[in-house]
Amino acid sequence: MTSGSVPEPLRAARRSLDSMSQISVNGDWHFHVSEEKWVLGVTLTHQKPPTAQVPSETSWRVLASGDYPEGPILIMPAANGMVSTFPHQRHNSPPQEGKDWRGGRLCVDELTFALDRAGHQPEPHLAHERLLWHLEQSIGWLESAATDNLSEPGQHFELPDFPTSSSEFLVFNESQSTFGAWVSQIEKSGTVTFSESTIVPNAFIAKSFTTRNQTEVLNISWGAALSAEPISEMCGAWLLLPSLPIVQPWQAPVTWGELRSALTEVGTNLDSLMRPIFRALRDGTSHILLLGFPIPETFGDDPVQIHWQPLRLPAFPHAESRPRGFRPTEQGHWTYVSSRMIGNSSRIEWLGAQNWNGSERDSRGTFPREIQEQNVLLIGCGALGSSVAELLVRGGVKKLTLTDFDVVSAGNLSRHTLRLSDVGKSKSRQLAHSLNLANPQAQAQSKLGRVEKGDVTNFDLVIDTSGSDEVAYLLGAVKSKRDHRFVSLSMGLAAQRLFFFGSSGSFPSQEFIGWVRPLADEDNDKYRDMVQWEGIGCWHPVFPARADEVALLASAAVGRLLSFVTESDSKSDNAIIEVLKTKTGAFDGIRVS
Amino acid sequence: MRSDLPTYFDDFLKAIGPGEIVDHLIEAHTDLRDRLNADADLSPIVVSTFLQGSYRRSTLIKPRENQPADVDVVVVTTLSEQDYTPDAAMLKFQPFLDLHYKGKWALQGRSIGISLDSVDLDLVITSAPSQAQLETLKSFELSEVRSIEERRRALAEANFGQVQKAYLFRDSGDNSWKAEPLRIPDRDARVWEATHPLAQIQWTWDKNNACNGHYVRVVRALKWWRRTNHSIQKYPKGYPLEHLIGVNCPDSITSVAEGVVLTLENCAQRYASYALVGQVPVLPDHGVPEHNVLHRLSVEDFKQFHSQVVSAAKIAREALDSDDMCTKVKLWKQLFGEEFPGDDSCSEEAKAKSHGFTLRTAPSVLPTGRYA
Repeated sequence: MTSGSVPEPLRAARRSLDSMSQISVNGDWHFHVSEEKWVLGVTLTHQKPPTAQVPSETSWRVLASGDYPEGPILIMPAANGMVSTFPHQRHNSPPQEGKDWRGGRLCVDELTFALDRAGHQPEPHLAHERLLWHLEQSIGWLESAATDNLSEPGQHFELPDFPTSSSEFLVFNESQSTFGAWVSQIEKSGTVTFSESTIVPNAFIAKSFTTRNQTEVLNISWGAALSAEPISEMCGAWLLLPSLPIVQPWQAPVTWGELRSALTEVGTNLDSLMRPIFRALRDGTSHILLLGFPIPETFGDDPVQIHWQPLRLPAFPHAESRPRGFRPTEQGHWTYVSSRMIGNSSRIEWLGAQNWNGSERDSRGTFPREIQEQNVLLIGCGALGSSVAELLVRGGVKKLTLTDFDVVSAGNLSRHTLRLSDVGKSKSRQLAHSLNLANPQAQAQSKLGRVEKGDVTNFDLVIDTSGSDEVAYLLGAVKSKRDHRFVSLSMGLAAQRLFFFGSSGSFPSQEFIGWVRPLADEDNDKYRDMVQWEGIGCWHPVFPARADEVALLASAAVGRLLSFVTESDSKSDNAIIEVLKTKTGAFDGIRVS
Repeated sequence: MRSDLPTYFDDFLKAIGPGEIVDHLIEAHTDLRDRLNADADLSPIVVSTFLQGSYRRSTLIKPRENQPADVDVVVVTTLSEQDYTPDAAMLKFQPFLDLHYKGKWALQGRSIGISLDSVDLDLVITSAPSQAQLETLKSFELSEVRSIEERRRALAEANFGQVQKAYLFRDSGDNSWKAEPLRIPDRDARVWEATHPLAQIQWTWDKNNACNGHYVRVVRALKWWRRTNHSIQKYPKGYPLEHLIGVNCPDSITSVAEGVVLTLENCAQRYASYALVGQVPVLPDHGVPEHNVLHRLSVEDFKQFHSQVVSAAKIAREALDSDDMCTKVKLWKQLFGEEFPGDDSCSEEAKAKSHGFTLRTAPSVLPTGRYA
């Protein structure tokens, strides 16, 4: 899109701004070549009492793309506009070369902002409505900023934007359950080991936190995939801060000076905190330093977990080196480093941070806690088994043992979760491997060879997706144990029905076979003509079933399984889950009977 | 389905067979023979020793729990009946027995009993046979310890599967040994009397061949039946029982199951009138026809035995004729007890497992009809 005349939609948008007296347009759209955006200057006025950081009138730049009303709309403080960073705003960095706006983009269209607003209108799409909506939201934002309402108690807590230029990020695992270890921690600094991940590019996976005198504070238990990654030779350091270091109102420290001041505000001296671990860091290489601080779930609440924010330290001089003008002792080196290398004007090189904690609360769409903690055995890693396993592990089940004596063939791929790279290999082994990469806490493993009666007793939940009567009988022979749960899942020919049979304590194989066999026979007769045969020599019937139907039945089965397992007083449950079709064969729903 | 359940019977017979006891028997016999040969007093008067009895005839079943196995050994001597009474002949062995088996031996009516750990040796001393028989006995492979079944198997292997009507004993063609029994002491009656262990062995060999190798297995099965079903061991038992089975088992049977059924049925039918009138049949011994094998059997015991045979025959017939695997196993187990393999609970599971092969009448579909 070249500069030239302003596209009509943008003109319409600009005209629409006249409808609000609180918006005053400065000039017309002009095209910013390097950003490839159309830029408009506006002044916004809010009605609340002005504050030092939020005057009544503030100056902004609106950036829109040439195919408006499509495309993003960015609202940025003008170069001479607001300088502070607030919640729901990106880090308000000074203007870059050639731009007359700052970096503090308002997050008015992000969901978190929207969910907390009362009377919120959804974003419109028409040219004369969309931009207006954004600016109305921006005025709302200004009003909240002026009344200190952007982080109102009860609203979901968010961290400030720590600006980073690096793609590297730290992965850690903190939650309410690990919080206790830190709260009672006397030593406020120490070292931490990582793995430089080969599975996840640019990730440093934190492994173990120890204090200076080698006492372990926290050893993160990752699932199989991450645990297997080798520990890096380069260790990091950690500092435990009393609270989030902030430059009011909501700006992450940009320089070491800002960090020191922010900590002084809460009664902590950064240098005193860092001094004890300096010895571990002075080896001529650049280490990663983790700043940890407690954060709540909602603003105004008590903190519930630790967040780690990493930064990359400059390479501190080696113990043997002699920086000019400083004594060649450890103390001398420290003075050099703290005043020159991480002096007040030095910029902090923040890195990204991600907390990969298996959620303990149901809020993030994972399974109930009790099933996540169960030791599950899945017998049979075919189409149905693999789909069920995938759903379970992604839903949070960590301890899953898989067993199947079969090998993946290309023909399976039409409805199996495994891939070309798995063909020819053991189904259970490849599936375990795949699932460990689907959940950082997953510890899926495969049991080779046939499953024995004795193996079964160690599991809380046994899911039979083998479709085999032999397995059903084997389960029937397992000694009853009160907390055991058994669930058998199998499909009729053509995958139109799934037979769900759950039982707690023991598995009544006769009863099960008696129930399921006539059902399976019905489907066998009904869809007999659909069976195709492949291969030469021995007859190899190909089971006719579509991937979408298998997935549909698997999902329904998992849903049913969750309720059966979590209801403590349910002794047994059986159900037929059926895909419904119209007369012409179109999908018409799913029925449970 | 194989209605005679050959593999089931194979396993059953394996379970009731003597097993490791055989090694002990052979060892006991070998030790005895070696000691006799080394003994200064006895070796000049001992012609040969050989095993007889149910081990030799392959009709031996494993002993009861904690009971020793019985092995019968014949010691052929040159002691003449003119010079030695039965008592004196047996006492000649006393120093030898005290030397080697002190405290473990005892004189019995017709034999010397020696109690070893897991084996009870029954030593039968014979008087001098005739000169002719002496030569024959020496030339026989009598010290060979092979049982009938072992010999049959060895011959079959040597002749590439063909078991000829090979004589059990390699003899010089002179069959005079057949007519002449050995004479053993009857201390109680104080006389020497005849016995013909070789003839019994020979008869069993011939009968077994006529029955395609199944006869001795039928004997073992029925001996076991007798033991399982009747806790108090009454007559007929041991050799008399075996003899009874022998004369009632038809030739040309093709399986143990068939043999068991027909033997029981024949027995039931043939002796029905005897049982009715209260008379014990007379069964002449194969080697010494003047002897009645059943002479010790009381009328009461015989009648009871007969009624047991009648019941068992019905069960066995039903088991053989039934088409249902589960029923067959249940019935055989009724006769033979837990040593007969298989699950008699006739669960759905057992039924499901034993579909066997059925003829294809329609295009094949997968067995369980359940998929995953």
